[in-house]
Amino acid sequence: MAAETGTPTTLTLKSNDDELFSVAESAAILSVTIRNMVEDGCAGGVIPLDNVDGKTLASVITYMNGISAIPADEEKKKSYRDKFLSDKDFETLADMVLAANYLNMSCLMDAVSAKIAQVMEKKSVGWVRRKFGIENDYTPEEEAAVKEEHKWTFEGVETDDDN
Amino acid sequence: MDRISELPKDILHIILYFLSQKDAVRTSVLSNSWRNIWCTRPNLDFSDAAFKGNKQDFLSLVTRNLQRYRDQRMCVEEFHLRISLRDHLDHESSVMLLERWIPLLKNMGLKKFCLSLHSKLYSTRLRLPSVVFVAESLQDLRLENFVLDRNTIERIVLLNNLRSLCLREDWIEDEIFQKIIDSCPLIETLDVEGCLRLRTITLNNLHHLKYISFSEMYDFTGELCRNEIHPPSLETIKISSGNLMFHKGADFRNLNELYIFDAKLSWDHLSSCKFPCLKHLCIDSCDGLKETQLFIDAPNILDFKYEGDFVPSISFATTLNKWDSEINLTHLHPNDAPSP
Repeated sequence: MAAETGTPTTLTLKSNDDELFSVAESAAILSVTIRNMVEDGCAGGVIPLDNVDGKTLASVITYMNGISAIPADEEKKKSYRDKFLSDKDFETLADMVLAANYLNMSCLMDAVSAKIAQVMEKKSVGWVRRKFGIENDYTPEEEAAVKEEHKWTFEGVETDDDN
Repeated sequence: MDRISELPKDILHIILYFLSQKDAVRTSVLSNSWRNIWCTRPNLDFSDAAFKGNKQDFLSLVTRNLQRYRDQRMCVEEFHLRISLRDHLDHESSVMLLERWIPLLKNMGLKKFCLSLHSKLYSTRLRLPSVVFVAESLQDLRLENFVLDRNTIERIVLLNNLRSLCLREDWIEDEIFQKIIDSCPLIETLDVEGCLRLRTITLNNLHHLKYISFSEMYDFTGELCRNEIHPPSLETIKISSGNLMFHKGADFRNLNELYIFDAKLSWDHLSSCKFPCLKHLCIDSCDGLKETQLFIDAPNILDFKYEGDFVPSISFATTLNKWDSEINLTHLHPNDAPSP
């Protein structure tokens, strides 16, 4: 590891579409997947990340640099995360949550998941289907049966006007 | 298929984790692939407020869900339960249900358990079943409006994983509190509010305690609960309507934030304590300061706030950085104003 040499070590990460990124090791090890590779001594050359594309990796690295620059202050970290995710559309969030899962970054994983959940909160079934493009493959009878089974969850929710 | 439905089940569970039980269960109506995702999310969160008046439906729903998790040997990492009592019949049935439900959680790898009770009956609380304290996996425990007595801790085990304990409006005596604390040596966060039966508590054995908050701790005679702490590990202290023992010359070497509101303290002792890392200090409505000259040894202070109806005498040791102070005097009579 870098500590002995005094200069910060830089790692090179490669996305699945062959883009190369340099990132400080101290920021990159927020990913447990990368940290394990560093600890096992397999981070010498280029680290290939087969499940992450360049666009997503660039975004994840921005997050890694941003969050690791904040000292141990949970509130400041939280407000950084909120700000970082505030302008991301769902497609981007889906890419990020998959990347966070692959890279084993629980803080990013939780933040993105909470952000997606926030969109669904207190929304009607019809609204959620439209928002995420979910196709309703229930027959009307099946849907009525599932609704009946969980009747209590429909109280106080805006009613669906489209089914 | 659409993007969200294509996400792996583990990720969908984490997304559903952040929803209320109601919102999570309703996702079953979205499409076939969503039908059973909610069934295996790692947390359960029930409140009878969602069941307008139909308590029976609520009770059988909770029972059904707990049994399903147990039968399928699934983990419930977090369990939140809010119940309300309307009459004495509710009281009986709720006690019975808690005694039935809580044992089901014992071997489910429970990490966080939040139990709260809202009662329309004046000062009615429920006795907490002793089984709460046998889940060794517990990391975080919150109890609101319960009676914790000798029976409650009858079967208490060493809760080596407990990091956070929060008690709100519970009836608990010193001796019981002490027994609980002694069984949780690794506690980092302790938050106690409105537990009026506590008189004197000793926390100096909690060597990992970082955050402590005590509020609304007046007992019936108007006495404030006193508590004694182990200074070096603490990072945050918040005392509001409570009492804290500061030992002479104590070294609060990790304390970052000190918030004192309407508190009784040994101000002379506080003046002799060392706060090498203290950054934020707030003193609000502390009458005891009238008779004393307070000295704060906090070279790294960044901000200091004072609020009260008199001008206190407070001085600071030499500080290393630029720091802010904000003094607000409230209800000051014109004749009492300090001469310029």
